[in-house]
Amino acid sequence: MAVAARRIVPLPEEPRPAPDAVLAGTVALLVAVGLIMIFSASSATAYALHHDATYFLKRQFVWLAVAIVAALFAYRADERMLRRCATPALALSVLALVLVLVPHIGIVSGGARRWLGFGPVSFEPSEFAKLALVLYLANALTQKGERVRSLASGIFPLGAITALIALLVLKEPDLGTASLIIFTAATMLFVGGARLAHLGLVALATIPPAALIVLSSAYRRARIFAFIDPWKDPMNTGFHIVQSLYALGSGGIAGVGLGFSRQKFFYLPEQYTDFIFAIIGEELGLLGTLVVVGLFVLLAYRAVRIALRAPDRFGLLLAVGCASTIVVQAFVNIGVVTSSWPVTGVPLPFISFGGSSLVVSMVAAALLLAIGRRRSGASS
Amino acid sequence: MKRGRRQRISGDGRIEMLLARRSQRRAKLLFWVTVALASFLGWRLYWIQVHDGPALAAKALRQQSAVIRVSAERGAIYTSDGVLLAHSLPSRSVYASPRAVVDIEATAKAIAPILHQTPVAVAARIRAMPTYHVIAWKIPDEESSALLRLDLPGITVDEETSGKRFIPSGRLASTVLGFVGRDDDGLDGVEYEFDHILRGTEGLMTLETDEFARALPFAKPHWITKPKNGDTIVLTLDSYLQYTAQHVLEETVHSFGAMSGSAIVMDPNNGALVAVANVPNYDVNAYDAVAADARRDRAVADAYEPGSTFKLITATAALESGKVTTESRFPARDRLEVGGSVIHNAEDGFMAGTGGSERLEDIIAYSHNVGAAEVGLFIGRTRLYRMMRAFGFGDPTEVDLPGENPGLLPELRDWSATSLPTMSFGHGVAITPLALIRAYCAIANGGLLLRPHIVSAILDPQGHLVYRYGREVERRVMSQRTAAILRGFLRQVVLRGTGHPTAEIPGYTTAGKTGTAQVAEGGGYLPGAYIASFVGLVPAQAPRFVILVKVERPRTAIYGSVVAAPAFAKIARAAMLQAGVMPSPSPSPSALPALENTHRSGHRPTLSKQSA
Repeated sequence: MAVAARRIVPLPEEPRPAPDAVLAGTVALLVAVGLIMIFSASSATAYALHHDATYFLKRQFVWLAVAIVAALFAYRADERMLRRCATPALALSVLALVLVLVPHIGIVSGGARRWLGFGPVSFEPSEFAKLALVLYLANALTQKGERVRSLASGIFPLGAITALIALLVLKEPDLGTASLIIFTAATMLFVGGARLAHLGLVALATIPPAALIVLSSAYRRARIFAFIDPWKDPMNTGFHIVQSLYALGSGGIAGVGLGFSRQKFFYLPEQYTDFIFAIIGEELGLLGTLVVVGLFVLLAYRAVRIALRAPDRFGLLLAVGCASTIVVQAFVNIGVVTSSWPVTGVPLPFISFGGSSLVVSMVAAALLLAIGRRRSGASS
Repeated sequence: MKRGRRQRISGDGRIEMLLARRSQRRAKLLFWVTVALASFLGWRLYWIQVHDGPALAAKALRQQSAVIRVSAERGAIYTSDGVLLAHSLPSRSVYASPRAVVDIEATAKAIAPILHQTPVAVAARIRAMPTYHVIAWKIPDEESSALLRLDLPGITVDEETSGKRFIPSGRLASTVLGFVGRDDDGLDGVEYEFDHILRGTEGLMTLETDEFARALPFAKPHWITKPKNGDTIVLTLDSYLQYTAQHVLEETVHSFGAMSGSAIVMDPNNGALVAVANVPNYDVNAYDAVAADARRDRAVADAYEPGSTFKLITATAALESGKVTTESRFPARDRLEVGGSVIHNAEDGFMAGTGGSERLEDIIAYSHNVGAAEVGLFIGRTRLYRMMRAFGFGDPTEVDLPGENPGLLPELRDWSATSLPTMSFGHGVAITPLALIRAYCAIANGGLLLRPHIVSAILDPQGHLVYRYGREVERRVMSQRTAAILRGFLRQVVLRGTGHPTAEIPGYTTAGKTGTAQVAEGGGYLPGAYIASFVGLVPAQAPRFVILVKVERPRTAIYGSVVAAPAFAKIARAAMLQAGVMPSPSPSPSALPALENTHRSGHRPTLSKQSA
C-alpha cells in the first residue's frame, strides 16, 4: 500500500526515520539498572549518614530529571548550531577547567579540586569538557578533511588541544577522566582518518610524561600497579580491588540476590559510585554483570550502525565520539572493578551515582539518537 | 541547481567519499575492538565470579563474619510460694563507632551530661578503640532514651536480652538474696552461692556484620554453641512470712532504739528456712548505694554470745548423760563463786532465793544462771563439750548461703576454770543465730540435727524440675524422750517463766527461751550493750515452726522477754495463720493481766556475766 501510494503521489521530502528504539531502550535499561542498584548499594550508607535509605536515590532522580531536560535540548539541536557551538563550547570548557583549579572557586572533595558549584548544585567541568572536545574534534576533523593526514596541520593541533584539556583535568587531579579524554580523542582521530603512524607517534610521545606522572611518587606507583597483584597489600593499595573482588566472587553465577550485598555495608568503598559494578556482580551474579556488559556492547553496535548511516562525516565522527565517551568509560570502569585496569576513579555511565556523569552520558546518547534521525540530503 | 552543485563539487566529493569510506571502515573496526574488549571483560568476570568465586566468597565471608558471644539469660529466683524475687531484664549499653562519629569532642560534650561523666572521659572512651566498642554499660532507661533522642552519628544504644537484674520487691529478703554485679556475676547471698546455676552458659555464634561489627539487617545467626539460659531457683522462703518477719523485726529494732537485729523462721521438720530477716537491710536494686554493713546477712555471718538461750544445750547434755533427771534437784541460790569469779542471777523478778532447791525445769523456766552453772559443773566439762560439738557449734551448718560464720567454741584444752560454768549459760562461746535455731529445731523435731536449707528446688528455664532439696539429717543429737522433756521445759518458760506472758499467743500454744546477753568485744564485755533474744516453738508440741528473734543493743529495754518475745509472738501467730491453723477457742492464760513488764524493764545487771 505504502509503496503504491508513494508511486502515485511522491512526497516532497522523505519522512525522517524513527529514532533508534533499540538504542533508546538500551539506555533506558541501563538507567533503570542504575537507579535500582544505586538504591541497593547506597541504602546502608544513606541510612547511616542521613537516616534515610533513599537519600541518594532521591538525589539521583533529581539528576535524572536534569539529564533528561539536557538530553531533550541536545536531541533537538540542529547540526549547524552544534557545529557553530563546537569551538565556543570548548573554549568555555577550558575556562571552566582553569577556574576549577583556582582555590576558593573549585570545590575540593576527597583530596581533589574537581567541582564547580552554584549554591547547592555542583558539577564537574571535566565531564563537560570531554563532551565539548568530542564536538570540537568531530567538527574540526570534518573541516580538515584530508588534511588530517598531515602531521603539522592535522594531528598536531588537534593533539595539542586534547593534551591541553587532558593536562588541565590531570591537574585537579583526575587521572581517570584525563585518560578517558585521551582515549576518546584517540578513537576520533583514528576514525577521522589520521595516519596510523602519526597515532603511533603520538602514543609514543605520551609515554614519557605519563611514566613521569605515574612513577613520580612511590605511593601512586603502588596504587596504579596494585591491580596486577592486589593481594600484595590488601589493606592499603590493594584495598579497593580486593574488596571489589570479594563482592564479585561472592556473587557467583546467580548472585546473592537483589538487596543482599554484604560488601555494601562499608566494606567496599565507593560502593554506589565508582564500584557499583562490583555490587551488581555480588547481588546479581555473573548473569547480571554479563547483561550490563552486553548492554554496552549493544549500545556500541547501535552507535556504529548510526555512524555508518550518518548523512555526513560530521555525523559519523560525532556518533563515534559520543559512543566512545560512553563505552570507553564503561570498559575502564569495569576493567578497574575486575582488576584488569589500574584503579582510576571513573563512574560507570548511566549506572553510578552522580549528576555530571549522568547528564553527559544522557546528552551523548541523545546526540546519537538525533544523528540516527537525519537523512542524507535532508540538510546540507 | 541541485545537479550543478553536485557537478561543481565532484572532485571534492570523490575525496569526501574516500574519507567517509575510511572512517566507516575504521568505525567498524572499532566496533570489533569493542567486542574483543567486552569478551575479555566477560572472560575476566567469568574467572572472578565462577572460577575464583567460591574462594573469594569464603574469604569475603571470613571478613564479614564476627564471632559474637551471646550471653545467657540469668535464671530467676522465686519464693516457695511463687513470688518473683529476682529476674533479669533486657539491658541497654552505649556503643561507639569512632569512624562514624563526625566530631568526637562535640559528641562527647553532648552525651557526657546524660551519662553523668565528664566530656573528657567520654571522649577518651570513644577513642579507646578504633572499632565498634562499648562506652557505657547497662545504662538506665531514661539515659538510653535521652541518647536515642540525640541521634548522634556513630553512637548507638544496643539492647541485650539479659543483663539488668531487677528485684521487684526491693528490700524483701535482700540480705539473703544478695546482688548481681554489672557483669552479671552474683556477688552476694543466693545470687553468689548459686551463681553457677543461675548464670547459664554463654553461647557463641557467627553473624554477618558490617565493617563496624554491627549485625547486618538480614543476617542469620550461625550457632557454634547456643546459649543455655540459667536455671531458676525456688527458695524455701515464704513471701508472706518473710515480709512479716522483716516487718516485725524492723518495728522491734526501731521501737527499742536497737542497732540491728535478725529473725529466722525455720521448719524443724525439714530444715527449710521459711524466713530470714535482718535489720538493716537494703534495696537490692540500689545495692551500690549502701554500705557493705547494711548488706550483711547477720543471721548467718554474725556470731554472738547467746546467753540464756544456750542453757537448753546444757540441759540436753545433762538429760542425755543419764546423771540428771527431771526430778534431780540443785541447790537454789543467786550467787556462786567459781574459779575466782562470781556468777549472779539476773535481778528480774525470777530470783532463786537461797536455802531451797530447784529442778532443771525451774532453772530453764526462770533462767537461773547459777543453776545452769551448777548443772554444768555437775555433769562435767567433757559431757558439755561433746554435746556442744554434737549440736554443731564451732562448725558451719553447711547452709546454702555464703559467708557463714562457724562460730567459736574453744577446744577443751583451752578452757579455763570459769569456762565450764559460764558456757553452761551461754557465755564464752560464740554462735550464729542460724546455728542456734538449728539446735532448737532438733529439740522441736525429736532430736535430729538437720542441715538448714534456703533453696527448695532448681528448675530449668522451661520450668521443669531439675533438683529438689529434701530433708538432710546430720545426726541424732538426743533421744526423742529428751527432746519431749525439753519441749516441756520450754513450754514452762512461756506458762510461768521469763517468757510469760510476752511469748504467748491467744489460741495457740507456744514454747521458747529468752536470752539477754552482753555484747562481747575485744576480750571483754561492752558496758550497757546487750543482745536480747528469743527462740521459740509453735505449737509447743509437734512444732511446725521454730522462730528466733535477736535484737542487738536495744536501748529502751534489754531483756529478751521484753524486746524479743513479743516479736516472736507476732511472727508465730502469722506463721500459724499462714499455715492454715486457726486459733483454738480455749481460754488462754494470757487473758490474765500482765504484771511483769513494769519491774522487768529498767533494771541493769550488776556484774559482768549476767544472763536472764
